[in-house]
This record gives sequence, C-alpha cells and structure tokens, in this order.
Amino acid sequence: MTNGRTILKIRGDLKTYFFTFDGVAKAVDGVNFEIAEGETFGLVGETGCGKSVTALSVLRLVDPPGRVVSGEILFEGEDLLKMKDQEMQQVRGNKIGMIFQDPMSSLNPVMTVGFQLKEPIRLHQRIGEGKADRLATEILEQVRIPEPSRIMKRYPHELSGGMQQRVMIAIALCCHPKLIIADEPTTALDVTIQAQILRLIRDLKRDFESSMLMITHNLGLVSKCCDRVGVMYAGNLVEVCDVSNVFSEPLHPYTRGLIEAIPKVNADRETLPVIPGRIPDIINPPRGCKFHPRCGEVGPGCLEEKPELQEVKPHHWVACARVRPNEGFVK
Amino acid sequence: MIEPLLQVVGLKKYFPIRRYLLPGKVEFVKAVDGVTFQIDHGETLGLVGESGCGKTTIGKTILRFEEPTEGKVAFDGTDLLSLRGEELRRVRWNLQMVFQDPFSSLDPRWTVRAILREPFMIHRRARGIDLEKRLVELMEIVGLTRRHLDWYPHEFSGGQRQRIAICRALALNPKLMILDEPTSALDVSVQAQILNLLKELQREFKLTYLFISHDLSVIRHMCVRVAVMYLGELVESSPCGELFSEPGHPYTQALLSSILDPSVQKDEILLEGEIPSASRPPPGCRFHPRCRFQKDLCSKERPPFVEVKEGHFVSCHL
Repeated sequence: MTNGRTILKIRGDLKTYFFTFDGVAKAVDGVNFEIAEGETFGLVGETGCGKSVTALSVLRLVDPPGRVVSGEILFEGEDLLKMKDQEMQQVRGNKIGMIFQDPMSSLNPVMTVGFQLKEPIRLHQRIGEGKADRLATEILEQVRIPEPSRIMKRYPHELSGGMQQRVMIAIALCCHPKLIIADEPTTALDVTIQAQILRLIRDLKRDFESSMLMITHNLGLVSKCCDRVGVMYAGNLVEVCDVSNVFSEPLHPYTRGLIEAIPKVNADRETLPVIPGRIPDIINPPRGCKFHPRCGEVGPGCLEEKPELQEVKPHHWVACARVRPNEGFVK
Repeated sequence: MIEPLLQVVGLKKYFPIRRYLLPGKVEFVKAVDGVTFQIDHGETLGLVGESGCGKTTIGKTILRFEEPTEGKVAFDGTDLLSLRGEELRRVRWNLQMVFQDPFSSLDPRWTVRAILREPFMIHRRARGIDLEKRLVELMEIVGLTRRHLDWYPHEFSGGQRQRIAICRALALNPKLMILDEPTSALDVSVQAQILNLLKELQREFKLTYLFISHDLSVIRHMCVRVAVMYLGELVESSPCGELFSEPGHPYTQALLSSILDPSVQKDEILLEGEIPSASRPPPGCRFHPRCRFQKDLCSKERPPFVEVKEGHFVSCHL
C-alpha cells in the first residue's frame, strides 16, 4: 500500500505549550513521527496525553493561550508552521481533511447539511453552485447515505448520530485530501454503528488513496484499522511500532500496562492488572521519565534523565531507559 | 428453591409523546416493552444493548425513579410497585444506583461529606460520632482517605469521583446495586481500577449487581449471566460464557463481532441500517429489518422468548 514516500513528517521535537495562569502546561512535549503515503498511523493514549493537541497543531488550530513553541511539521516537504495564514487555508480542509470526535457539536446546527458540505468545495475549488451540488450529492452517496438529495436539505439535528458522522466524513473527504486526520471518529457511536463507520473509513481511505492519522484511546480500534501506532503518555511518544508488534511484544511498561488493563473476551481473570496512580500533572511533570511514579520497573536511571525515543529493533522505537537496542527489556 | 433477590415480570414503560397540534392523539415511545428477568442473591446480571434500547430505563423503573406502565417488580419477596410513601422508603435503601457520568451525578456545591451524609439523614441511620466514623470507614473501603471528605467534587479526577459515587451507593449496606455504565466515562487504566474495586466490594459485602453496559468485554469480565436488549425487548439471556461461545440471536452475533478486542480475530458481521424509532417499532420481530436471516414469518409474528438450552433463552424464529 505504501510507496515509501512520506506525506507528513514531524521533526525537531514538536512542542505545544499552553500558557495558563497556573503555569505552562506542556500538552505536547517533544513529539516526532512520520506518516508514509497510504499509511494509517494511530496515535493512542489516555485522556489528556496530548494526542488531540498534536492533531490540532498539525492543522494550526491551537487557540491561545496555546502555542506551538518548537518543531517542524513537514507536509509534502513544506513546513506548515512557516506558512502564511492564507496558504494554510489552502491546506486545511483541502489537502488535509479532519473528522472530529463529536458530530453533534462540530456540525453547525443552524445550517443545512448541504450548505456545510458545499462550503469547503466552494472555498477550494471555485466552481458554480450547480456543480458543487452535484459533487456534494456524489460524496454523500460515497459515504452511503440513502437519498442524498433529500438529506442535503436537512439540518444536523434531524439525523441520527451515525448519519451525522457520515456527513462529517463527507465534509472531510469532499476535496479529496491527501491526509485525513480522524480524532476519535467513533467514540460517540454505538458498537454496531461503529463497525459500519470503521468499514466505511477504511474503504474510502483506500479509494481516495489518502493517508490517515487516527487518534483514539481505544487500542482495539487501532488493531482493526491502523498500520503503525504511536503510544503517547503525558505529552511524549513512548513507543512507536507496527500495529502487530504493539500487541505481540509491547516493550514500554506503559504500553504493556495499557494492554493488560483491557478486559479480554476470551480470558477469565478475577482481577485486572492495573496501572497504579493516575496521569501526571502536565504543568509540573515528574522529573526524568514521566512514567516513573507509576512504573513497576523503575531503575536508578529512570529518575534523572528523560529517555529519548530510540530504535531498539527495526521499526520499533521505545523511550525507556530499561529497553536497549537488540536486547529488549533489561531487568 | 431459594427465591431470587429481584424478579422482574413483564415490565413495560411507555413515555407519551404529546403532539400539540393534534391534542387528541397521543403516541408512545415504548422504551421498555415487556421485559422479564430475575437476579439471584450475590449474582451479577449484565444488561447489554445499544443506546436507546431501554437499559437505563429498566434500572430507573426498578428503583421507581420512573413509574412503570405495566409489570411486576418483586424485591426479596416484596412487591416494590405497590409500596407508597413511608413503606417504599423503608425498602428502598436496599437498592442503590451508580450512574454513568460521575461529573453530573455529584452535586458540585456539596462537599463529599455532605454528599455521603445524605443517605444517612434520609434513612435516619446514624448521627454524630457514629456517622463520622462510618464515613471515614467508607472512604477507606473505596480507596480514599479521611482528608478527602472536605473536598468538593471538582477537586477529584473522574476515577475518584466514580469511587465517591460508589461510596454513596454503598453507604447503607444495600443488597442490590444497579450500576449504569459505571466505567464508560473513564480511561482504560482507571476503568480497570474501578472494575477491580467493584468485584472486591461484591465479595466483601455479598452484593448483587445489575450491571448495565454497552461494552461486551467489560460485561464478560464482570458478569455471571447476561441479558441482551434490543429496542425495549430482551432478545437473549444466558450464562455469560455460553453467550460468548454460542450466541443464539443474530443481533447478539453481530454485537459480538463488533467487539474491538485485539486478541480476537474473526469475521465481521456488519448490520445494515440503524436502530429504528422506539415509537414505531417494526412489526413482528423488532430486529428483522436489520437481520441477515430474515424470513416472511419474522415480519409478521413476534418471536417467543424460549429456552433453547438450560438457562439460555433466545427470542428468534430460527
């Protein structure tokens, strides 16, 4: 599927800080990764780990008091952070499409579905009303909405959650973006509808030959639709690897804890293994490795120095002082 | 034979929709439409279904937060629905509920002490020093400390708030706890903590749970028996392991295939369409418009809830 070319490359330690009255909240604190053409990259982590802020930084949609303080975001070789606002508008919604988490609150309740769908088309393609109408109807058909011309005249509240999410996907895809950013696209949906939407996203991504950045807290979802995955913890990537490796041989203690904590369907366990404690304060994070206060395998090196992401095996990157190249986890 | 702790027979709850332009005509949303089940002492019954299928309404009608339209609810031999006023209050402390969202189920202007004291006040159980002792004890049971009693809900994380909600439900030593999606607002690592806590409490205090959830892997972990709901009706009910190994109803099969468990790889069964409106449910079997195996009979006759194996009930014509 992938041809080896990179579509999005984040390098030079992307940092997005929020300058609040309580102090500087380091929401994203040194993140580097890349997405190849045609690839789906999953960004997983718990609430507040900075995965959504990473996505918003890519689109330059971080609002004050938040600001990207360092790093480069190369999209097709160009640094998005250095672009003028006008150039950025040509990228947003056109070359990069975004699917937000909660369709109920991200669609405009006082505009019809058709209007919202045609907005990016008109903005980016300079075509007449009639043609925009035709394009919008076509895209609604592609996201498998029955009777598209009727739905175009409807308001968001008249549609079910699943239908609203389909409209969101249609809006994200209507300009055939090279990269789709999906932020928790199925969290607000029921499981049977979630299965429909996942299948749809997968099919469309293939048809449109797009790449995708999938943001989710659900590791199960990652296993079903991503090629590679990055696990985030308190603003840092702690592990980046192929999706099969993350389940077969997770190396970072946090990743292992996360996978263990999911109730399994085919295993009888009286108690679930837990990660003790809770996510750290991002204004005053722990020194050294941010995970060390919750980690069961803390060693002497963990408290002093923040571990860097290093390639311990081909295509398997881990940020942990206890994991060494070619040796795996060192006791 | 020991009597079950809770017995629900033919429970129905219809909500009227008034149309102001057509005053004479009243339609009903059939949120719960004839549900029968029972829970034994010390057991955990899981109630699964998608949003809008009526699982929360069942929980609320059992506690009489909502008055049922029809049916019978017997708790420990007493008919809950015939009780009024003082009588009801005397029984009701036995049944407690933990709600889904710990952010909206705790009063933001009350300290934890005030929140936890309320059940004791209402049921006139303890006062003064005894009460204070009991509160500290309760906090320790759920893994919090004495210090936290003077905090306000906003000072806690989601997981801690859910612990307080559990604490409040536990306060009067109830027999039955209705857990309405207790972990769906939480992260996985916190979810695991709460699930472990609930299991521990059950062992220690011999609690009986009605565990409402849409997450099948959580249900699998927690429950002894499972009942699957679709559009206000039970479609299947069986011992937990059997439901997962041999699901009988096509809807259950589809639900199981939609579990995103990385350790399981299996064929997906994709359901067509969405859940129909509960005010105009499809005739016959309510699932038939989305069913893979539908026959002529399915759209005409409502399938009976039959026992296909011991303790395994399915409502399907197949």
